[in-house]
Amino acid sequence: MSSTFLILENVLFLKKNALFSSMNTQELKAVAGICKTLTFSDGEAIVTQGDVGETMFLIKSGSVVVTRSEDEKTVTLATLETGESFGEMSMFDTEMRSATVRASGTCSLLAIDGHDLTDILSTYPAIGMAIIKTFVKRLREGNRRLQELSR
Amino acid sequence: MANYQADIVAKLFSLNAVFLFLFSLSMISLIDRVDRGKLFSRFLLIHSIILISAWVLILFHVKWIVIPLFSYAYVSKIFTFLLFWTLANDIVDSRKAARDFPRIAAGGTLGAITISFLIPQIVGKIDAEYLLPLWASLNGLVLILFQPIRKQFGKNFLPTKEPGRQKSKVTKMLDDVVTIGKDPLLISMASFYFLLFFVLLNQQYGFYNVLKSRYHQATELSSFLGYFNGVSMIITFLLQMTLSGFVIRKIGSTRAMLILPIVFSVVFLFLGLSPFFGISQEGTDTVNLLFWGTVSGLGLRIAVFDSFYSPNFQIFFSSLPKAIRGRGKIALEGVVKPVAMLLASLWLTLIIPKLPHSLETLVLIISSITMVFLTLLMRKQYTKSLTRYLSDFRTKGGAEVSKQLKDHNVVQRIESTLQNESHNVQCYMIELLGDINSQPATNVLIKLLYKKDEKLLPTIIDALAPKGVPHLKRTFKELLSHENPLIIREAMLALAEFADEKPVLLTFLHSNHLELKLTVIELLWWDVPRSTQKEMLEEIEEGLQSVQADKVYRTLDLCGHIDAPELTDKIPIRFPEFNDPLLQNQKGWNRFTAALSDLEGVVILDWILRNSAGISAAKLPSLIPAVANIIKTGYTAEKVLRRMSGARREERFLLSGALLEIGNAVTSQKRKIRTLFSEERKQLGLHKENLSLLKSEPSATLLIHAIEEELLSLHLQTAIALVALLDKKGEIQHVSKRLLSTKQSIRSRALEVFDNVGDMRLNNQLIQHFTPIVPLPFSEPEFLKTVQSYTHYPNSWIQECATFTVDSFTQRKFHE
Repeated sequence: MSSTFLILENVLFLKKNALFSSMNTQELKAVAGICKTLTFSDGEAIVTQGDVGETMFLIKSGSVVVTRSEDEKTVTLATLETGESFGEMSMFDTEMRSATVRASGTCSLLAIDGHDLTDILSTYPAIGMAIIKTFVKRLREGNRRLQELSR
Repeated sequence: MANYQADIVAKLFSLNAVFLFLFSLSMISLIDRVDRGKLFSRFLLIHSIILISAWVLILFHVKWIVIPLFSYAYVSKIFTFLLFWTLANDIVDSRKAARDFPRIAAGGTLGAITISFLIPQIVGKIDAEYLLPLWASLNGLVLILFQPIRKQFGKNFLPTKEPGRQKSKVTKMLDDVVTIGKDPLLISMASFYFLLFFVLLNQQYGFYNVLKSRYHQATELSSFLGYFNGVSMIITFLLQMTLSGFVIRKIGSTRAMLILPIVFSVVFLFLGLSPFFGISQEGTDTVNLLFWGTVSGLGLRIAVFDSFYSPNFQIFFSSLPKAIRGRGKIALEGVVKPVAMLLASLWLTLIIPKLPHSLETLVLIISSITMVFLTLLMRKQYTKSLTRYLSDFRTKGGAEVSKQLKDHNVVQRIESTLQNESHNVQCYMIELLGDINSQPATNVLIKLLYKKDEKLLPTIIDALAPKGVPHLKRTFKELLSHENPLIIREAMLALAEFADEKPVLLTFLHSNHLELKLTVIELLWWDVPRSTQKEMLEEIEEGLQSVQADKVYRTLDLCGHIDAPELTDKIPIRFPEFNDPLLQNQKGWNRFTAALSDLEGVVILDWILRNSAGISAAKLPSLIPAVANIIKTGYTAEKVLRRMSGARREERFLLSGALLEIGNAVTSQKRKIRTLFSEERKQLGLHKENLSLLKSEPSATLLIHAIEEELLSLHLQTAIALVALLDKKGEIQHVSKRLLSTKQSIRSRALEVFDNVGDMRLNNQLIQHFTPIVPLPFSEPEFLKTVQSYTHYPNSWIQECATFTVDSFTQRKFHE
C-alpha cells in the first residue's frame, strides 16, 4: 500500500473522530501526515500512570483497558473500543498521565504527537479552532451534567 | 344552559374577557421565568383536579358552580393552547415550525372533528356532567404523553437567566409590559391581532344575522350550524393536510400570512359591492346569493384561519427571544384579544345599529385592507427579528471593561500590583493603562518607561506612543540606539507620531535589520520624495525575492499596509503562479491576499482570476477583497456579469462574491443574474446527482467529503451571492454566511429569512439544495464511471480523492 493511500485512509478515520470531525479533509490530510501507526499486543502498556505524555491515541482496531492505581488498589475505569481516543489533553498540557492504558488483545493505534501538531497548527490555524471547538463542546457538556447533578 | 336563561351567555362572555385579562396579567411575569415544562405538567394536574372537584360539587347539587366553571373552561382552554404552542416554539426553530406546525394544527382539527361527532353519542348515553371526569381523564392522558417530551427536550423549557436584583411583583409586571412594548415584531403582531379579532367578531355577527333572517326555528338553526361546523372543519383538515404545508413551503411562511387578510378583503368587497350588482335583501334569488356569500365567506375564513394564519402566527413567535416569547404570547392572547373582543362588542351593540349597512361594510373593508399592510409590516419585522438573532453575537464585555477603566482607582490598583504579576499579565496591564485616556495612567506609564525593564519596554513604548507626550521624544530617540531591534522598532513607531521627527527615522532605510528597514518604509512611504520611494521599492523587491520565508511574509505584510500603486507589478513578478510553496500554508496565503487587496488594474484581475483555478474552497474567499477592489474602480456590474458567463467555477465565485462585497444590489441585471444562477443550479444538480450515486458506496466517503467541500460549497456560495445581488435591502447578504453554518438552529433561521425575502422563485430553487442527499442504488460500471470523471477534475484534491476511491473500491472488490 502506498504511503499516500495510507494517509488518505487515516484522513477518513480521523474524520469519524469527534475531535477532528469538524475539520475539512484537506486539513485532515495535514494531521494524517503526522500520525504514526502503532501496534500493541495483548496486555502491553500504551501509556503508564504517572508518566509525562504529549501524545494522543486513536484506536484504529481492537480495544484497550484504562486502569487507575491508588493506595495499591487498581480499578478498571473503562474499556475503549475502535474509533475511541485517549490522551487528547496531554497533547497540550504535558501533565502526568492520570491512568494506565493497556491493549486488550492485539490493537492498532494512531498516535499524534503534541509537538508535531503544534508545528502544523501554524500552517493550518483552522485545525486549532476545530480542536478548541471540540474542547468547548466537551466543557459545556460537562457543565450541563454538573448542573443536572446539582439539581 | 339547562339551569339558566340564554341571556346569561352574553354576560358570561364579558366575564370571560375579564377573567382572561386578569389571569394573563398574573401570568405575564411568571411564564418566562419558570421551567415551562414543569409549569405545563403542574397546570394539567391542577386542571384535572379542578374539573373533578367541579363534577363532585355538581353531583352534590351545587348548581352555581357551573357559572365560574364556564369562565374557567374558557380561560383554561386558552392557557392550555398558549402553553402548548410556547413549548412547541421552544423545541423547534422557525424552519421546522413552518414544516411541522400545520401538521400539529391538523392533528388538533382532527381531534376537534372527532370530539364534535362523539359528544352527541356520548351525551346520549351518559349525563352531561359526566363529561367533566372524561375531560379530566383526557387532561391526565396529555400529562402522561407530555412526560417523554419533557424528558427529551427538558433543557429547552428552562428559563433564561435574568441578571439584576430581585424586584417586587408589580415592578416586574410593569417591566414586562415595557419589555414587550419595546419589541417591534410583537407590536406589529399585536396590532394585527387586535384588528383580526375585531373583524372576526364582526363577520361572526353578520353570519348570525343572515342565519337568523333565514331560519326561524331553533332546530333548523342548530342543524344548519352542525352541518356548517362539520363541513368547515373537514375542509380545514383537508387543507391542513394537503395544500397548506405545500403553499407555506412554496411562497414562504410570511407571504402565506397574507392569504387571510386577502380573503377578508375579497369577502367584504363582495358583500359591500353586492348592492351595486342588484344583490339585495329584497328578491328571493339574490337573498340566496347574499346568504351563501356570507356563509361561504365565514367557512372560507375558518379554513384559511386554521390552515394558513394560525400555524404561521405561531412560527413568528419562534423568532422572538426565548426570554419574552411566553410573555409576548400571553400579552396577545390575554390582553390584546380581550380588549379587541370588548371593543368589538361595544361596536356591535352601540354603534352598528345606528350605522347604515354600507358604512358598516366599508369599515370592514378598510380594516381588512389595513390588515394586508400590517401583514407586510409584520413580515418586515419578522425578517429583522431573525437577522437580529443571526448577527447578535458580539460580546458586550469590551464596553463593560472600558467603563470600569474610567474609574481612577483602577490605575492605582494596576500600579500597586503590576510588579507581582507574571510577564504576560504585566503586558496586559500596561496595555490597559495605554487604553485609559487620563493623566494618572500616562504618569504611571512614564514611570515604567524610565525603569527601562527591557522585557516590558516594547509594550510600554507601544502604550505611550499614541499619547504623543512631547517631552518623551528625547527618550525615544535614545532608544533608537538600543541593541534590541524590537525596542528600536517601537521607538520608531512612537517617534513617527511627531511629524517633525520623521526624517530622523530615514537613516534606518539602510539598516542591516530587515524589520527596521521595512518599518521605515511603512512609516515614511507617503512623506518621502520619488527618488527615496524608488530606493524603498528596491528594498521591497529584495524582501520579496528573499529565500527566507519569514522575510517574504514580512515584506508582503508591508505591501498590504502601504497601499501603493507602484507595487502593482512587483507582487505578480514574484508570484506568477499561486502554487508557490510559500503560499501553501495559511500564514503565507493570508499575508499574500492581504497584500493584493489594494492592487488595481485589469492585468492584476486577469492574473488573480487565471491563478484561482484549483485553489481550495477554504482559501478562495480571501481573494474576494482584492477582486472587489479592482472591479470597484474600473468595472460596471454588467461587465462583471458578462465576464462571469462561461468563466470557470472559481472565477464565478470570486466575481459574484466581489460584486456582493461592493454592496450595491444589481436589480437591473435580473435576467443576466437568473441565467448565471441557473448555470450554478445546473452544476449543483449534477454534483448532487453524482453524490446520490456515491453515497451508497462506503469507499467513496472521502471523495464525497471532498466534492461537498470543494465543489458544492463553491457553487452554493456563488448561487447565494447571485440571489443576494437581487435583494435591494441586503437582508440575504446579511445572513448568507449563516446559511452554511454547521449549527442547525442558525442555518434554519437563515433559511427562514431566505424564504421570506428577495426573489421568491430563485430563493425557492436554491432552498431545495439545502435538503440532504438521498443515496441511490448503482451498478458497478456506473459507480466507477462517476468516480473516474473526477480523477481528471481541475482540482488536485478532488483528483487525489477520486484516485483513492477507485483504489479502495477495487481493493474491496478484490477481497470480496
